[in-house]
Amino acid sequence: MQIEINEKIIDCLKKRVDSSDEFESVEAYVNSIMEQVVERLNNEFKEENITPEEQVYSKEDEEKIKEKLKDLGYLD
Amino acid sequence: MVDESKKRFNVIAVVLDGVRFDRIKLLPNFRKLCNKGTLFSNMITYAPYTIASLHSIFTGAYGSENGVDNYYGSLSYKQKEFKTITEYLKEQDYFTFGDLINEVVTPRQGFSKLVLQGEDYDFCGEHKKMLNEAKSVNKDNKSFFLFLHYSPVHNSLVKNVIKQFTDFDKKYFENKEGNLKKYDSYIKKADKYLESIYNEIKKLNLFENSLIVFFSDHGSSIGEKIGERVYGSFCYDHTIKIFALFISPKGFPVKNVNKVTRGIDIMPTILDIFGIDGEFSNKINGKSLMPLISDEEKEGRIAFSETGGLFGPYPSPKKPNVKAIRTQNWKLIYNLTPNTKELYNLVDDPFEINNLAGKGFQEEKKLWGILKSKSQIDLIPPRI
Repeated sequence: MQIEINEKIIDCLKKRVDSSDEFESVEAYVNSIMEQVVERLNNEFKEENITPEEQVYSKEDEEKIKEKLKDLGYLD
Repeated sequence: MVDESKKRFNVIAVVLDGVRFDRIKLLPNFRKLCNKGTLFSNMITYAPYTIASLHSIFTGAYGSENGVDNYYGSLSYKQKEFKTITEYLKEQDYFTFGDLINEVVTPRQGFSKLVLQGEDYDFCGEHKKMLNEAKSVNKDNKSFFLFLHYSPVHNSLVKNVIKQFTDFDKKYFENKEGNLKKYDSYIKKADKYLESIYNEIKKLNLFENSLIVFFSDHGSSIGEKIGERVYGSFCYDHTIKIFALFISPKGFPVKNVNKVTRGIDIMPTILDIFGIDGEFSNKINGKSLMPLISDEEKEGRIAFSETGGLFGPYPSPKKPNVKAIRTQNWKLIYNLTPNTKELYNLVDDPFEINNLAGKGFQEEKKLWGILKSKSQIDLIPPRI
């Protein structure tokens, strides 16, 4: 699959690649960005669709914490 | 394994909540105490707010490992995978007790007895009573671990800053001199408290058979950086720099160790001097401070800190949005939102004003590598 990228964006990424040792090529940089965007999207999806079993603490617990944070003066 | 010669030492841990080292070091009672033990004057906290800081100090582990890496984090504390200093000492048959400002602030695991501080709590009076109770337990040849939380500085900051100003209030940020004056007045009271506690410990003859640790959990802003009126939003030195002063008849000479150390090093130091092998010691990120006292360890350590304000930006408040790596002379800060880096040469620029990121310094690459290894950086690399 080929994807066309706007030349202005390519120039911008090329500058970054040239000025740093972090990426060997524009392609590597684009891949890295896309991997992280996809991971972030997946994480956001997971957060939105979290099941009660997966939740570390319940909504009630969260409310209790909010009350404690209010007591500490951090929340109104 | 317990070292028999040391196991009967009591531990008195006193946290001075929100006390900046650069201010308390100017005051007489603190200075007097510094002449009695080993001061770690360049200590860095994992988090510039009490909840995550105390959990990291009690477990010797970063919040990114023990689960408490945000203001809501105490419910996510991985208590089956980590053990607190209180639990370790309780296993050694110590009587473990202390007081808490609030149930979510300090890990409660391992405490035999806890007192919850209420309104109008008389810190000097109550803490003296607790010292006396400790002494009576000690008379029966039982060692104790006493944790005292001095929180009036926090309370004053809430009343006079948090409730009065926003994080962007011009009136506050343009009045640094006035803010400092007020802050110093709170610190003076903390210094008086130290005198009072010190005298009580002396009166009770507890110096001879106790290890006493005075430390702070985070610093505070007096308006240095717009966007943070007190602490918890950023990772600049005025909030992440803390101290620890160890006083004991054995092992802690009068000395100031100025090399970088971490709050997470306090707990493994106590385990080390008591010869306690931690069941979960592989989970401890900190290291004993003893090799720094003997100069066996020559270099300062590398400290990792992170934070996330209660009002964001993303992914805070549920996850940290600012991460930092601090060495003896340099600091790299990574702001996940808005995706920027800051690099400071702390020798030339101790107030972190001149951002050197992107200017070709080797340290940036080196510290960025360390930061990525300490914490998952899952956002797009910083903009050009």
